Amino acid sequence: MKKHIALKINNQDYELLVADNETLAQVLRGTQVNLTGTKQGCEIGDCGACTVLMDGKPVNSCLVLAVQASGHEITTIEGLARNGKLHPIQEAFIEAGAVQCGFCTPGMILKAKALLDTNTKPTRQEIRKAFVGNLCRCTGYFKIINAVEKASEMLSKEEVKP
Amino acid sequence: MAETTVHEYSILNTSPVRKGVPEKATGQAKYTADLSLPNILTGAILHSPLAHARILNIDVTRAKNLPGVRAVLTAKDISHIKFGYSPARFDETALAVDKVRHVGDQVAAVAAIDERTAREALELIKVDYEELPAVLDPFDAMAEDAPLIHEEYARNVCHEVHNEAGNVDKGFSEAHLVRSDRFMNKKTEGACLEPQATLADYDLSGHLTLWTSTQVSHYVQRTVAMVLQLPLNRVRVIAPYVGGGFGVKASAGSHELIACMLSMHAGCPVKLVMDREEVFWHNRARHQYYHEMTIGVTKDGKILAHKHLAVLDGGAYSSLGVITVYYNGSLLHAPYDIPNMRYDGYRIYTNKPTSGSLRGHGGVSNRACFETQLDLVAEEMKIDPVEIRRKNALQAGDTTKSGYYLSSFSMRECLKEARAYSGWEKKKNRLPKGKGIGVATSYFMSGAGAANYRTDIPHSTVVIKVADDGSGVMVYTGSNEIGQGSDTIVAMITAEVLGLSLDDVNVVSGDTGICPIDLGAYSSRQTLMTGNATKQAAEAVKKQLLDEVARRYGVASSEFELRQGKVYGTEKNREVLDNIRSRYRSEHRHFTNLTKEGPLTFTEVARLIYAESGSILGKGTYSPPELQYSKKWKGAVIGSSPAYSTQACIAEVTVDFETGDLTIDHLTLAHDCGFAINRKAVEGQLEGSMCHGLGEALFEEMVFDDKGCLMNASLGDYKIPTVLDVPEMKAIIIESNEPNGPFGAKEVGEGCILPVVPAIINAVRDACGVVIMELPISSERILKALKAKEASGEALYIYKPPASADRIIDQAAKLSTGAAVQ
Amino acid sequence: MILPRFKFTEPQTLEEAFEIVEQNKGHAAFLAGGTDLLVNLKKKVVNHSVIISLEKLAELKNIEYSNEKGLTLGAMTRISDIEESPVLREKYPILAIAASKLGSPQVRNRATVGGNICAARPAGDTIGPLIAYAATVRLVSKDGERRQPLEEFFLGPGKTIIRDGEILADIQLGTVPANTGASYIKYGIRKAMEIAMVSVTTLLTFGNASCQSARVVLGAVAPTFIRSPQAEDVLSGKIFSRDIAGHAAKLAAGCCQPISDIRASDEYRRELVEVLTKRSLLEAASQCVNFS
Repeated sequence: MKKHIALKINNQDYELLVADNETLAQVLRGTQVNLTGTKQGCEIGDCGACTVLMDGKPVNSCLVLAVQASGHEITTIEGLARNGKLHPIQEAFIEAGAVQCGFCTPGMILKAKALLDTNTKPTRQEIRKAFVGNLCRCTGYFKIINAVEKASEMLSKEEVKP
Repeated sequence: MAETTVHEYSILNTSPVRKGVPEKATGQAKYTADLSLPNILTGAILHSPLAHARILNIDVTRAKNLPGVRAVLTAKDISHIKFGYSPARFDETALAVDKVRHVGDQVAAVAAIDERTAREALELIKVDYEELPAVLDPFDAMAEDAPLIHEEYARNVCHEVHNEAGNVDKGFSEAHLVRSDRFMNKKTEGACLEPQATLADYDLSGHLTLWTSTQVSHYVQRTVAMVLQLPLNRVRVIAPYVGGGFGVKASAGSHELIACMLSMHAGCPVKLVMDREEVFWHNRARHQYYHEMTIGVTKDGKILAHKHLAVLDGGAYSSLGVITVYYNGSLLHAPYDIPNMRYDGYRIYTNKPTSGSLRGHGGVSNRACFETQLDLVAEEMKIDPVEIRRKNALQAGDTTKSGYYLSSFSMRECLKEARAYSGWEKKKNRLPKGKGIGVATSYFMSGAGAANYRTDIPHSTVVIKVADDGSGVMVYTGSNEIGQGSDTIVAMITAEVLGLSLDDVNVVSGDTGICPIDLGAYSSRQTLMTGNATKQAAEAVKKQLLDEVARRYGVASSEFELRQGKVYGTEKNREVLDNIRSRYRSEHRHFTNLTKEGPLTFTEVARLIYAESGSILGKGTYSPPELQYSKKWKGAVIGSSPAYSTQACIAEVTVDFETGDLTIDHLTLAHDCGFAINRKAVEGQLEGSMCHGLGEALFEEMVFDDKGCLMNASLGDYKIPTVLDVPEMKAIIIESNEPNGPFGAKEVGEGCILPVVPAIINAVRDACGVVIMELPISSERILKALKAKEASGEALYIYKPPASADRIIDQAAKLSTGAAVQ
Repeated sequence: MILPRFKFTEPQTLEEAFEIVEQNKGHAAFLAGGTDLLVNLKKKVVNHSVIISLEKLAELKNIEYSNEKGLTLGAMTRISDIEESPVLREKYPILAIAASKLGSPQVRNRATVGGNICAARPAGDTIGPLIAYAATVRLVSKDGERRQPLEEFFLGPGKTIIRDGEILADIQLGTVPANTGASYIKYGIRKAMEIAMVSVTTLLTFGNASCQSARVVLGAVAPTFIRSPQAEDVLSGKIFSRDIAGHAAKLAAGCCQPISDIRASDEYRRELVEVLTKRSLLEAASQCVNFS
């Protein structure tokens, strides 16, 4: 017996039918919402590939039931670009060479957004601490840290609130 | 052999935005698990809970009757044709036929309307097993009366390699110092963030399309066609975006065959995505090695002789392991000059998940042992560890004893730069207690010299088609982009030759239906091999363009140059130029972005030629040249390569004397890649390798219980480095200008992991006087060693592998005594 | 990996919650942050046909602090809120520090202190500091409520004194006396994302240059969190010194009963207890006194 939930995903209202035992990750990636940018690397909260923002805070969407997301605001990687333009964080990741296979990238970028929303000029060590929940096998994290620093510079130049 | 060469390239040697990266950063990139088709079913596999058992009976009745289930397969429903990696060792079947050989082996498969139904159906399948004694340890596996995992292989020896160059015994007898050491690592896991996933669609016309997360579309296509007995032209393998490979996706997997078979039976597309636990059972990553190495050096510290005995724990099937047991020997043939070498290697089957190839294939554990031992020699002889390496280094133009010709080889430069950057001079012997600095070097091949099947085909073929409207080009390559940036390399080479911007070069890769054959992304071959083929294809297109321009202008084609999207030189004859331009303009009346003046554009010229003679196509191929290797050295072709990379790593560490805790403070890695086509991509490989090497040094090991069950099959319990575990790192690009590589480029991506583990071991020794000869270097092992050192009162304590490792090596030594040396 | 079938319920009041539990005796489990329960359900370690979410129960989210009464921390308080709370950072610093070391930021944004307690892992991060601060828990049920010192709450790994139908409502911490130093040390294989191999929590209250009371709490080295009365006795009433700290640490190591598992051997854990207890004591003491 499916339940009806109403939530905002990337600033758009959705009304969905979900089973009690479906996770937010499954529903985002499923046919009703069809946003496959959120990835599943482990499904038990060890890797952070499924990171989305829930009311602005990063969570592992594999450990949130879809029914629990009802009434909340979810941001996925697809929701970052603004008016057809890349978000500065996305640009920074691209330019810094912080993307190799890309599987961890959506989670990394959303985590970066959450960090920079609350700490506009993080040190490299603060950046590291913020990203412990996002595993990467390709990059060694180095250029990801560079990308977040770069994004912080780019955002500080903007007058518009990120 | 200059470290820096002045280049005048438009795009090579820069760091452009990589192909596919904006798509990855916006979530648009579709990986296999993201794909869908109408009527799609979900596939799931039933795995064996036992390490070794005969399958007596499988009852699928209840599973078949579960509503929503569309197909249930066991061995009796499918092809038993064997597959694997090397045709000489095809020993896998898509589903276990008579018996299962490891916990996680594939027993049955289901396709159902959704994942829930598929997994419920698996639980309804009843398998009757007759448990067989399992061998989990190579010692037990090699015993005379050991239960055989594969009937044909006595004593469970999957493969053995014996070779000798020179005379090691004589070398040892003449040496000033001889020492023997034993070393072991643990079985590790690839841990790609993307679990294997595959989507098979066998359609109504009998055509099979397989989208799959793979490094080797070509090998998968051949395997599928062979096992399913389909004509090759009815099998199309497409690699979508792939979330990492590192070697574990370098061969066809049974999950791919299973998905195909399910689709054939169900008449619908079937998607099969491994969960993380299944990924661990599939494994196909680094072997567990047991080494014994003996080295002899002169009183000046020159290496005279080296003997290497090794046992590889291969797991249940062969996979790439036959190659591994060769590389385990050959990857020690450089970067030092070793006049007398002997290698005896055994790959043993055990009832554990199968080991295959993982980044630095066959070169990580042996290098760790070798470099650690070399440092012990240096310490005993009071020679600086950097200096002993420098003095033994081979150089460009040298040939190894196995006959590998080093056409470019800047090991000394790597060492010099790493040493300078790390501040070795100021730090060595001057660091406070508990802090240490260590060095190691290595070398790797730039592509396997032979394909995995006997063939004379080119290893890479690339076709470039100029857009019929002239606006750009499409490059078709069967190579596999797995995040390493190969599509971008191909695009950059094309853009450079044709004078185009990267935006005007599009790459289609990894699709066997439309791309020419490329052997794929393994043995670090694509930059050199695919790159060379790309260059040739681009030159072919360039020739067609310039020949036609030359014909019209009545001058030699050398008068023209393709640059910045233009054909420079065409401006010299106004009349011819205006003629061509006005034709293009009249064809494009009402278009607003037309070129008004200056030389003819690439577009204008290409369009002209299209009008005259149709689509412009350029083809390039690459086959490794007649490779040099010593015919006296058995199996030397395995390890031979058109070019060889080399690298040096310096690690700085802190050891906590009370807890044994090890912190890596800094890593410096200098890698000779010949020429960095994409600088940030090269750095990215070095940085990724430093992190990966750190993981294998400190944390990574697959742990089994006494029933062969994996105890840490999750990314929480199998520990790869988090960002907090990785220090600041420095990647140094060394360019030696490889003559056999496109624009001088050779591999990066595998060689760079090799020196990281031993640099760390050596730094630990420097920090606190203990040498850990068993990976991972856990804090517990360090503390044990520190206490033993204190108790012994010695300046140095060597933490040796346990007795269980000793008996494995001793047993192999007995096996190899009397073995014929070719 | 899929979650098994279950019925998800989300009571709006405690009464409703009690009702659901009653109706589904033996089949129901409470869902707090989900970072533990959902993992166990996926791994098939547990199976429940009814899940009762505590998310909407306002009574469990109450946070109150006063200098007189101390702290009341609702069981559904997120670990990330504990980590970031200015009040907790100031008044109960090692609780905030321990919270910051739990899992990852993503996990902390969902996990709750009540969930961490009820999971009753011998390595649960918040438990050591809570015991050090002498926390009591308030358990509510349809029959009323009862309080229990947190120290007496645990029976074994995953086992607590919670009865069927009871919900952990809140945790109470008294005010911390002046001149109290505290330290939380967690050791794992990696520098993050670890379940503690060993954890040590120490709380020392000083008066007249001597240590008036000491609490030494050890995690991951026994079936439950344990204190080390032997270590505490050696510290209390004495002038603090490195030697005393070392002695106490030795006693702490002697009183633990670690196991060997894939992460570490029992022997190594015992050695870590000794080293880390000493370090923890020195860290705690250095916040209040000078010592030799």
